[in-house]
Amino acid sequence: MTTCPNKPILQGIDISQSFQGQPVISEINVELYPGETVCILGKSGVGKTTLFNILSGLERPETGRVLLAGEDITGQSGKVAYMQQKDLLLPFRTVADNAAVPLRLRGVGKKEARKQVEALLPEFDLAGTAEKYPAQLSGGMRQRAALLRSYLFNDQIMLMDEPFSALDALTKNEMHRWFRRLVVSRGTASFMVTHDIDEGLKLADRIYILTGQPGRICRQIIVDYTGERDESFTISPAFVEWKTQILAALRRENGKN
Amino acid sequence: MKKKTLASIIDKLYPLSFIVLFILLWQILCWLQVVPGFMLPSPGKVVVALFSDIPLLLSHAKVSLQESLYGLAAAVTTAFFLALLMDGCRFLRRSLYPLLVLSQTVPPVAIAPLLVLWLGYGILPKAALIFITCFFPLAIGLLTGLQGVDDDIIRLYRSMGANKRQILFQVKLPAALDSFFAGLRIAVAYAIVGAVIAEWLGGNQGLGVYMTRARNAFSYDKMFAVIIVVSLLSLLLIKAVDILQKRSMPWKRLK
Repeated sequence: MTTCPNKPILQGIDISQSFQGQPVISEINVELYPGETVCILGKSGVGKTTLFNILSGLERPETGRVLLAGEDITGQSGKVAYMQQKDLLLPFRTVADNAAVPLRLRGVGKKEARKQVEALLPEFDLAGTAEKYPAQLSGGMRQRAALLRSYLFNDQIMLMDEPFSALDALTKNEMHRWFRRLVVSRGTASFMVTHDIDEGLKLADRIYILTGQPGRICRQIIVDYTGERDESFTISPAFVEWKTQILAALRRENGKN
Repeated sequence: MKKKTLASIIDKLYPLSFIVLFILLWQILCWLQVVPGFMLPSPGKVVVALFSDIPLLLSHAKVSLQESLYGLAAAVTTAFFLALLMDGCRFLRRSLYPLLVLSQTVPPVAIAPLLVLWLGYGILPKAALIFITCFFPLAIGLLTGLQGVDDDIIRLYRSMGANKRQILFQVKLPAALDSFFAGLRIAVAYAIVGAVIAEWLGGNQGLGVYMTRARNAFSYDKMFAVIIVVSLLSLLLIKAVDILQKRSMPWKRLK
């Protein structure tokens, strides 16, 4: 799946940020190449969300830059959308209207936006839900609707902050498989925050491990597994080896602190 | 579905049975002459007074309703714009909020004579008093709704490039509808009462005027009849708000 052509689609260069005088993240360098899925793994409070706020332009870093396809977009929102742990669907809009939000904000006409949303509903396993309200959907369906909204905002990049963490184990497992299929078939690059090592290994082509106080990237793991990432993958020697490496990196950093 | 309907009927039966019990008790008290008839007319006499004076009561009710609707319309419009301003500007929010709260500490009965003095005996002082009474719950309801929108939703919209106007009209206002209707329900209940209070102090039409005349004539059966009309009007307005809310918030019917 990893295509990794020469130029990254999204880059965070030497990013540092403080909150009330306390450094939160320091000199972070991350890259996302077209078509790949990258996870940022780390404990709670290590600055993962701060990094994503900066990458999405919601926060301006103290130092460092964010490049989108080579263009400096530091501190500019509206270029990269990101999906959070909560689906954040508006309860007063139907699924189709929720998903069409980025298109409507961009000035796309109502009919055209609707057409684009409806064409994608089956691929997001949301066929027949266009007129339903979020309250009528299951947790998994709501997350898929939120993903569709992110996808319609930018079909090249999706930034996601623990998007599946609120789901139960079975739904989460299904979502992982579905998500992997989606990004492979659509060639969408995705950058995801997680604190679940298994989730990171199941989804990512590369994993950045963020540790310390302030948070720094302490290690990068390349998950170059070519087979299907199903249940058998999670008991394969490769999976165990990567998991051991990640745990060791996290423990080492814990020991230092 | 049938079970649901039955449960809803039973729910309505509880207060209804209590009302019936209350009227029965009242009638018994009157039969036994525990309270003198001129002080507490029997329910039967009240009903007779109500039906015998119904054309007159309806013409007075029409005036009170009209005043209430004018006052409400002014209160809704002003509350809407003020809540928007207070939501958008922290300085205004911090400086006006205490004044809004303070305005509620002044009893309407105390302001009513002043309004009559300043604005005359026409519809204006009545509408003004209703405006003053209804404005607070409407403004606070709407402001609470606007301020209560999940910050993460606003951040998401911002990350998608939405400007302040888009966030206001596409996210905040629809999200604030619930709180707005809660405020409106309180406001309409106050509106008729506000009209009656204003009419007590001046004017020649309206349920308050009818009430004053009935009191002066010691016709307490008519007093009770007009109280029933005032309550029915308030209930009617509250029901109208419920219907309006259901129509404008179809997603709420799912719950």
